[in-house]
Amino acid sequence: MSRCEHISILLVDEDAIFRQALADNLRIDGHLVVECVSAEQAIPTMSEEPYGAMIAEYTLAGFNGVLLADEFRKACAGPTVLVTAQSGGTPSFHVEVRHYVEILPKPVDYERVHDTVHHLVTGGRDS
Amino acid sequence: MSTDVCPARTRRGSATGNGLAKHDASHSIEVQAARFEAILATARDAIISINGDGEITLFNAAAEGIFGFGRDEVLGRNVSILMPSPYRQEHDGYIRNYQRTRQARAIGQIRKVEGLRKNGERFPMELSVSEVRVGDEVLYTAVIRDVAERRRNQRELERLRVLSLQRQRLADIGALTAKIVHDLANPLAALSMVSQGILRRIERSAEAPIETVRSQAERLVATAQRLDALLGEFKDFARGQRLELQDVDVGGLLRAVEQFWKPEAARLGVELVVHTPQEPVSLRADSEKLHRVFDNLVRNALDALDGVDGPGRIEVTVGPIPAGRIRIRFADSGPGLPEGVDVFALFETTKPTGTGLGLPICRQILAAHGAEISVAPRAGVADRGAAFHIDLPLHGPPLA
Repeated sequence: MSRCEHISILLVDEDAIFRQALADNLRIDGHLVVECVSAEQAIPTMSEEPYGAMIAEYTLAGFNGVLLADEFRKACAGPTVLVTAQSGGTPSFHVEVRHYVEILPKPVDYERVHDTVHHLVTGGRDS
Repeated sequence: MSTDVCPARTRRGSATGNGLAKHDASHSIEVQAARFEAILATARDAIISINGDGEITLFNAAAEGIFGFGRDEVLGRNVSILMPSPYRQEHDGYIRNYQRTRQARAIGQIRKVEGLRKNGERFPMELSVSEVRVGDEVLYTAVIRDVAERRRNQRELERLRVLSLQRQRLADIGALTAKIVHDLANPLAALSMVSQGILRRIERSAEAPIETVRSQAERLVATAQRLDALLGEFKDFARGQRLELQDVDVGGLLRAVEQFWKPEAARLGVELVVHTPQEPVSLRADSEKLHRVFDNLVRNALDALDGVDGPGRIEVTVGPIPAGRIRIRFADSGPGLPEGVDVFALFETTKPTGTGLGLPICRQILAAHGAEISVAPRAGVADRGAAFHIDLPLHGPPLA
């Protein structure tokens, strides 16, 4: 695993057990994690702090992770890692590519999530 | 149909002179003959007459088109040339037998038989035969419709229908697979992430606080149970419904449902009112599965009322409908159902964490009972909320 500075991360997922488990893992590595259960909760929260990155589920009630990533980009200028249980072949998943968004399928290895966040935040400067 | 026909009569008698009368009679016969020819020529169906020996005496234009023979090719020939084997060899015998016994097999009925075209092609046709006597002569007249194209169209429609069903089934399988993948991925992701957290804590410190690991382990158990429940729903739906039929007291079953859900309803500030029938009503049903359907409907109503301002109400009523059935109505005072949503469709759910299988399974159970379920999306209590109607046969499902 790459070493990286501690990042302030906004974590958005309606699945409580997954969200809390991922938050625990991130906190073990010393990151500051703020959890939100919905896009509705996340949008005002992202304006409160200069978060370094967001990790979010693509499928959110009444919203989708890509639109949330756009909001996060405007609020914090940071990247987003989307984790999703949706099959990649479904029409709703054909999203426009954004350089500040990476998509990982669930179930996902924690190290992969962490490394992807690190890569996006540092632009791959640490290798 | 058998008819005796008299020679044509003139409208005027011979009182004013034989010459004029003969001229009038001749003209009338010519007009009638012309009319007759016109009708024969323009009929869409084949009209063929034969004499008592089976020889063709009349063969209209439509018959020429259907069979491919010109009129001159067939007049005077035995009608069996228009028939494939074995009818060709048997037809003369049919005529002789009818003339002897007067027992009709074809006369007076529409029959589906096969014809034979000049080019050797067998084709399906519908045939009606009538008998007429003109003086001493007997004539049998057949009206024939070529239904080959209709049959082809029907076969093609059936083929397309089967293909459409197959495609729909494949699409359903595809949708089901995608749904299973999606619904299993979330709890699996949670299991995986929790497990990794436990390992990482232990790796960092072999003396990790037991309480931290315990809470993680409890999450593992909860997630495994959630997965199990999910798999159970999918299995339930895939398995179909086998019923264990017994005599079920409708009132007793509804009282049991009421007793079970009343505490939860009270906690949510919802009044649950169940009107059981005054007289005992018994029906043949699988008590456990029916109980499950009723539980599902009450659960859905409570979910709909959860968080709604003001006191909520759920009413369950039983009423007779004709022809040996009863109707059980579950109505709530919630927000109702969105327009255009088929809540019985696979994976259709208005809940953020629903699988969308609950109501399809209910419908499956009820269909196995020979029952039907329908919903009025905004006709619940005081015309608010949803109302589900279950129409159940009293005497159990129809025999297969």
